[in-house]
Amino acid sequence: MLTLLLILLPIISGLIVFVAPRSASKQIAMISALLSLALGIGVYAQFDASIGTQFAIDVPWIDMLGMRFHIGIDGISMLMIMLSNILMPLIILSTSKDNYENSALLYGLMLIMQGAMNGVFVALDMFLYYIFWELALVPAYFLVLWWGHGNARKITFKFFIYTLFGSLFMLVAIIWLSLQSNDPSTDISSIYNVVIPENVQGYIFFAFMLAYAIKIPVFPFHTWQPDTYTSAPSPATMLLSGVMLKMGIYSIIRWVIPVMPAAVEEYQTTIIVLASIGVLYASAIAWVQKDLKTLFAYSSIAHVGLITAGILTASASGLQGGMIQMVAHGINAVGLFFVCQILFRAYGNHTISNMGGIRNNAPLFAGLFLVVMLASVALPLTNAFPGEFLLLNSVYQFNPWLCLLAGSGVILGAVYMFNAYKNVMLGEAEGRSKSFVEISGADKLTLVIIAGLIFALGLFPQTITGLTEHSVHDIIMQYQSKISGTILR
Amino acid sequence: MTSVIILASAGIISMFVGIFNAKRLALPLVLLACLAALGIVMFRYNGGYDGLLNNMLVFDDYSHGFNIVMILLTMGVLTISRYYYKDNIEHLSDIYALFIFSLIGAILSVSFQNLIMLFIGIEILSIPLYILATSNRRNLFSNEAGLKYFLMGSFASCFLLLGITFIYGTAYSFDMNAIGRFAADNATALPPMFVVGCVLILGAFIFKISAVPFHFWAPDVYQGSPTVITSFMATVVKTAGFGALLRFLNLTIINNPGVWQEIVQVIAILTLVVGNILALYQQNLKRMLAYSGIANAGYVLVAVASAGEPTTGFVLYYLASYGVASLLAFAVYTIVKDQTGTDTIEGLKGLFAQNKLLTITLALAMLSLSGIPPLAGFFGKYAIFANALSTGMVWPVIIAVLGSLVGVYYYLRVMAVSFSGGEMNKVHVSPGYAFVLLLTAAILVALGVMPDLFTELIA
Repeated sequence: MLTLLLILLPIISGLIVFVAPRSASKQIAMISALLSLALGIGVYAQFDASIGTQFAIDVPWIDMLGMRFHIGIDGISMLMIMLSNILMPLIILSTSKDNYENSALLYGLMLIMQGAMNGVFVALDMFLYYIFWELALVPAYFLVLWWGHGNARKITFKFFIYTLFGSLFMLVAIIWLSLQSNDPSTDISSIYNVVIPENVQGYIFFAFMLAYAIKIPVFPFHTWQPDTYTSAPSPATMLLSGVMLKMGIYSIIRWVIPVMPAAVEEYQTTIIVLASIGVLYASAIAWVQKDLKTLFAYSSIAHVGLITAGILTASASGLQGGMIQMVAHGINAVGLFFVCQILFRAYGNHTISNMGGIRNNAPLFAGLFLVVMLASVALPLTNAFPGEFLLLNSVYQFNPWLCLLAGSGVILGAVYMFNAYKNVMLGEAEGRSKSFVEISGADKLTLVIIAGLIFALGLFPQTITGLTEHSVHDIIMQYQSKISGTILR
Repeated sequence: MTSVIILASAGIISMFVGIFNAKRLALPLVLLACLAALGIVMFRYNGGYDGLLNNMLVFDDYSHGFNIVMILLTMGVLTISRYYYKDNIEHLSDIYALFIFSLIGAILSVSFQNLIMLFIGIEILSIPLYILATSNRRNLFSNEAGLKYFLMGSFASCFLLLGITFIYGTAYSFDMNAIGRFAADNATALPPMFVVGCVLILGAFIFKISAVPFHFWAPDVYQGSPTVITSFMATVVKTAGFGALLRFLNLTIINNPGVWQEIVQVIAILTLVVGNILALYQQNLKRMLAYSGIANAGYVLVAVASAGEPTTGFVLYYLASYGVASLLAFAVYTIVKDQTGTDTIEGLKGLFAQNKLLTITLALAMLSLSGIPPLAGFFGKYAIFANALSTGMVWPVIIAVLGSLVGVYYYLRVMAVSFSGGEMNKVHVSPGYAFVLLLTAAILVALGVMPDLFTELIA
């Protein structure tokens, strides 16, 4: 029941926000987000990390097509649920000083999106999973379309068509998989037991990976991402980068590695090479960006590229590193894009050359930005360090040269981040920077919480790894037993 | 049969109501008749085999399923027409009567058990439509639409008659059971004449469902006809066309896939490609919906081509979801056109600021048409793709998937434009109309969230 509530609570409160008085929409959204967080913590408190799926609900839904309403939480789902439910109140808190037009719609859509994303993370029927996957896209589309800056109509089109293009091939692959079981079924138990002929596995693998590579995005399917992130309103960017792209990574772990092991083994090099190139490429592009938000967007491509590479090694360290890094990237991305939003309020744009010398007026802001930035470049003691270490370690064990490729991207990341920080924060204040006001109130609270989370998870990464260890082990066992099975056959 | 009699009497009374100058009674009368007919059909449902007129007509569950959908869609169209036609229009009661007669034709043509009855049904379906298409007599486009529809329709009727003749010439019967037996007995070597006859009849259906290569009439006729007539053609007539096509196939050559399966597959692929690509370039909303209707016929044809046991349920489900979504789009278009005079897609700019209800229902219709879960259109597409893949039709499915991606583009454009800012006249929606819109939207969502409710009814 709790699992269902995790999905329904945000969606229902989203609908309530639509019809409630506009002046109260922010408060209602905040209350809903906090309730979801409380609910998430409640589930977490009862969660037993040493066993598999818990809190399951499994009822028949559409008999005609053999679909069940099957949801449940294992360690990986729990982690993703916690991520989305922790970030949501932070994102709403970060909008405290912004006044958006039609705010009822904005908050309502954000909450519905949260519900749909929670659905993706707990769905254990592939068809149900697909429904939530697409459902999350619709509010995202409207968020960018209505509150986006610049040429939002064109950009959202690209975003929607691009992501849907990938999803439709995934749909065909899901149908194909469901037809392989005796009575058409998309339940996780039958999907995991489907024996896919090896000559077909490649096609199915690429049909899935296309959807995920676009969503994450992995080089070279990333071209929709910088435009969309830059154009989207700040809370939408945070939702997209903080939670939505994790849907893609989560899906690889849940639906690709255990289901198509032979194809993973055969093509993992291809994807890891692409992802590693992406790390270097995105870092290089980020270096020359003049717009701070676009720079962060490219840095996001670099980070998720490394996560993808690590996960595709299908090793315990890669998956565990991915877990840590998904959470870390979610928190840090929200922090970075929030910094962008604060600067945007003062300058009206994100152009780096307009800024500079902010530290003189706003030492606290500069300090907190520094924390988020250091976390983003994975300094030890910050949340991203253990994850990045494990990821690079897994890629190194896979192939040292690829690790060198990805690693140099990571080093480049430090370069452009420090460079950007220097240009934005340090130096002499000129023009508008002279009147920059130190952050206060809700802004301060948001950044302080983010900084707190950064250090807390940096010092205690075992809260994450302990949670997911059992489930990751299950996934790897699924993978390896099938691989060795094919060798024996 | 009772339902047909009730409907026919209501149609005739409605014409008399017009003479006695009580036009206001016409709409409640025909709606009540539809409701009564619907009740009877639902009551008879699962009642088994009900042969009439020497087995020329058979009301079985197949025809009941289609009848329920068609009567419901007609009721939707009639309700919209209440707001489309102003009270002072001439011959209003005749128009309602013609709708009802056309519906009777639709019912007959999905319940036929005899090729003569099929022909009669198709003609009763079509002739009122020729009149209805021109019912806006002072409008040149409406006249053009009517004439075009009439000429092309007669042409299709010729195909149908010729096909029937050929089949009679080889099987020596109009009765579907006899023809079915003939096809089964000669399954290994069907006489060429018989095959030609079947293909000619298929051609006539392809005209009715506006599939490529007989689709050219659709955009002009849809655009020129009064909007309620267009919505009737796009929903009820298309459902009837598919109902008759599938019934014909099921009763004759379903087990001789060599004769027809490849033809239908090729037509499906062509229809998907042409419909989807041409819809991309439309500026006029009605025309876009016409091409979208062509494209959707393509998806259903994919299902028809994968003929198997569950196909009928999927086809009907898809047609119902497409019908409801299209009806919703036409309903929004009707009111926007009426109050702002715009009929282009770009003309929808600023609609959101003027009227949220219209914009959101239009968005729901577009999202369902483009197949976004959890709306009805998605499950319809899913079922069709799944069914086609299970029979090994990989290529038509891939084309259909790419087609629906193109579809997302033009449906989404309508949605994006209607939500964007811009100048627009005030659009007012009366409470009654708002209720109709909300009800239709609710049906669309319910069809999507609980498809089993519907499919259990049909299958």
